[in-house]
Amino acid sequence: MSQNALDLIFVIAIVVEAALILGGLVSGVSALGYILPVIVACVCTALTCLAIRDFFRQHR
Amino acid sequence: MQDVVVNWTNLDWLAIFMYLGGMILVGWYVSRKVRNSEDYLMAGRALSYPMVVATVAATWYGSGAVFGTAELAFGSGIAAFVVWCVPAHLGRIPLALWVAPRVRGVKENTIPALLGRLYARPVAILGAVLIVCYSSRLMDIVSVGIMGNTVTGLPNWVIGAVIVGVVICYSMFGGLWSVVMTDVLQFFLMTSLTLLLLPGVWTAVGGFEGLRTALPAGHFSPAGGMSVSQILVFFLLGFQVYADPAAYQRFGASNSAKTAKRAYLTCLLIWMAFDAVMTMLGLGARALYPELQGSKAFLTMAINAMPPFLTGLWICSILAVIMSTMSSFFLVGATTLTCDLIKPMFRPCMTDREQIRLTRIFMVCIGLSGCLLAFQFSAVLDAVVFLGGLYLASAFVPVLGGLFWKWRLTVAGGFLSMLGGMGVTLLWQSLGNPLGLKPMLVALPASFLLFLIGNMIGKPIDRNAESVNEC
Repeated sequence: MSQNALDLIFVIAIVVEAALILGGLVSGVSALGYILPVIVACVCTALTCLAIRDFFRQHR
Repeated sequence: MQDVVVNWTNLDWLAIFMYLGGMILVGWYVSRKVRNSEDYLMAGRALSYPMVVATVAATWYGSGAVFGTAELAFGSGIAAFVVWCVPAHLGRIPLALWVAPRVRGVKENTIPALLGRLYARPVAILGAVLIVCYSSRLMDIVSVGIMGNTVTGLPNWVIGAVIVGVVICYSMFGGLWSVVMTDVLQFFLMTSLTLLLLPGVWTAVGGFEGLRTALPAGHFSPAGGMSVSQILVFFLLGFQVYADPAAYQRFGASNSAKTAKRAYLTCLLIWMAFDAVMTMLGLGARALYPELQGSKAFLTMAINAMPPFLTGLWICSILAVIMSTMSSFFLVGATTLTCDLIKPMFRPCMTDREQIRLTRIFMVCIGLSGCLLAFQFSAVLDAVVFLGGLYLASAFVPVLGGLFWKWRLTVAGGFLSMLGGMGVTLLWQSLGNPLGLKPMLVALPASFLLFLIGNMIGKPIDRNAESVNEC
């Protein structure tokens, strides 16, 4: 996959995420209050683990 | 008015001490890997994708972003997300796609150094002075003092001094490496603990069904009754990050242009979700504690929802939000003073060791003066905060113009746009914001106009010229 295509996927993901959350808030989808924090916490925990792994790999 | 009643236990103190001690320990451990000033100031330009995501996300989110979004949602409802967050994040996509890779491509470590090469030393010095004021994070120091006092009952200045002391301690050990690795852990704390508060609150308020019965109908209107001018100001405020020195430092420290770009795009995804959660927490706080003031209601709600020790951990997550921002800006301020003011003006031949030592000394000075200004000389506080605010209005056009303007570029263009941004902000503010327009709405177009006019005056700049090594 080319770099530009991957950038485009990121941009589309941001716009879709904004639209989904907006739609959820405006139409009052209560499940958002349970799903969203869990997804973000999982993604951020994974990124934290990867960052720590990278640090130790770089400074072995 | 109902006040905050906090059952603060020894277990909560234990959580706080563990967190603060852990940060110092991480800062010290990471510092053992630092070999030279490039490692200390730019993390050896070796930050990987997850590191950049964590440090950029943690740095940009300070007390204003957390309490500000929740407070806006408390007062205006979902408009906080619709008007404040979505346009700001969408407006930052070009920053990720084009500015981040371009900044990674230049060899200057700081914005003043870039301004110095693009225009002239006076432009760089003016930018450096404003950046130092912008980096003092006085409002973060004030917020942490107020929050600590609300929760523990200790005086504001004691809390502020302890937190600033810990931040200085871990940041000065290993410079950017220490700041980044503590940011990584703080990123984990702020996202996992702050966000995991929501499911409990959501159950307590009964989801959107419960909120609709407890809150005014206006809280569910996308624009929240805001005027077009207010919406435009919120949109423009989101562009502040285009001249943010900490973001530029991280772009420059990334291991490639691609990493800088992708990491920032990922941050936008995370911030969008984080803001949505903060908006929902603000709505929950309004439903549960309508008689309290916004941020106080938010704090009360969080503390009452947690058992002992977890309350302390949750406070740690808020401290993480504030401390990660403070540490990054203290380092930016100290780097600016060392590399952009002292080194070029007085000691061009400064060695690596001297540079690191001076940066450490300036970090202590910035932290100490921040504490004194925040808690002892509050009359000066507003002036310094205002000067910091001037930086964004004055640096936005010359920095981006210098990076992207393809046509004639002159020293006068950079100088006039910078002075114009500052001057118009000061003038507009002193006139009491005529027409109800915020200074930034007028200052940015004026700065751009002066940039265009200035670029017609004088000799064009040679963009390929190497910066002069005066040593």
